[in-house]
Amino acid sequence: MREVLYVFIGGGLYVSFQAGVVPLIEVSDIAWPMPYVLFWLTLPFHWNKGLSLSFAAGFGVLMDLLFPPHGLQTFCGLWIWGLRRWWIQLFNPNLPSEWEKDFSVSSLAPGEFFFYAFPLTFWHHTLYFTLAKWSLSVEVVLQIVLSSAYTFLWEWLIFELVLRRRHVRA
Amino acid sequence: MSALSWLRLFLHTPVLWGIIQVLSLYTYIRYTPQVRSYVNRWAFQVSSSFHAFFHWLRRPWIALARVEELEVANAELMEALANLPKVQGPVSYPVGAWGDVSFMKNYKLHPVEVIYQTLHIRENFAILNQGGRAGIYPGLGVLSPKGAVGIIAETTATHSVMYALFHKDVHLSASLPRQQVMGLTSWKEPVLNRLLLEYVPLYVSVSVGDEVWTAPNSILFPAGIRIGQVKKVNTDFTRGFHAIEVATYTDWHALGPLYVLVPLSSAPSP
Repeated sequence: MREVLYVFIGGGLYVSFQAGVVPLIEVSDIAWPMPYVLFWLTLPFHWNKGLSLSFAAGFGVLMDLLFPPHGLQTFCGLWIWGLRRWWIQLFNPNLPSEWEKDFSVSSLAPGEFFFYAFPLTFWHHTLYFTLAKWSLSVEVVLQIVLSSAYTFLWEWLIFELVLRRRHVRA
Repeated sequence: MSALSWLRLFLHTPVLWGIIQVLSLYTYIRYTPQVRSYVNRWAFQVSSSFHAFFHWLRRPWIALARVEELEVANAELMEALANLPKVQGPVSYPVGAWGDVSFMKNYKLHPVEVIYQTLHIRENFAILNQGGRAGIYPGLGVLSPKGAVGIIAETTATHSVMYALFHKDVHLSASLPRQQVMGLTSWKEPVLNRLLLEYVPLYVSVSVGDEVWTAPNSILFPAGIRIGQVKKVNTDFTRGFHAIEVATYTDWHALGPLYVLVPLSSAPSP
């Protein structure tokens, strides 16, 4: 129950950040920080998949209601939700069969977090900007790359300051 | 599958994931005008390509169907062409009356109108609205757009009397152009639009549907003007001639515009 509360608090914080802070700090329309992607990355793995999917889709719908282009946030966010499990297994082939029970993003080391979060964030941005701009020009590719880096910077800050449990790896 | 089975299928996480993805992408495309127009255009191109491909596959069958349609249309056209003199409606020039156009170099067509005509008596005639002042005189032939109608019998300065072919005393020298033989028309039975062609020798083979034209030896008409078609061949062996019933192209009940054939040498100079 406590984790559900954390998920709600996290989602609210991400939405508030996106609505209040991002318009002030975006870099001349070429790089956009979208740290709300972290919501889909940090949804607990040991939850029932249906419940987890409901939260992921609900958060996407909320973002869609708040920010245009409507429909794209859910679409791109669910890609992260769908790929993250497969992505972890790809880079950790020796994981035990019930790894999801003990796995938490907060237990990752900074390097592991980069390999986990950055490619998924990049894939999210690739889908998002390509569909939103409806082209794959040099400008759009630049926007994808720079926004991914910028977004990951904010994700990493939040991860280091709020999420990471240092005592686990100490 | 029962409804419960379908529900179970939809409750699988990957299926739910796919459904939500489709819905969200649909929402995005539906509410973004530029994307919607692009997707519509793309869908149109794809459907056009499909249509073109299947059309290409069906081409032989389409061609066969087209050939059948054209055959039917061609048959209808041929039938209409065969019945050309029977076509109703206004004709501005008596093209249908010409079996042979060579006579036209010696004649002028003078248009006239019927102001009175008899209805079914033994001496049918019509009064025309032109007379001697227009160069019309007794003995000239009169045409309708479909064929020969009669001859000018009397004239005044302003009007003429035309004896119809359906007059008991009018006989035309006629020919069967296919067989190149001549005969004489008469109106013995008082049936309008029917003539009797006599004096065609028995050795001549006459068929129903053969054309009947005016003959070269006619003193009233030039040769080659259509009169009618053979309707029935009654052979009288005791007389040695065919007695041929002819259905005239001209309908006495619907004469239409008439033309008097005036020889060029006698036409008044303007």
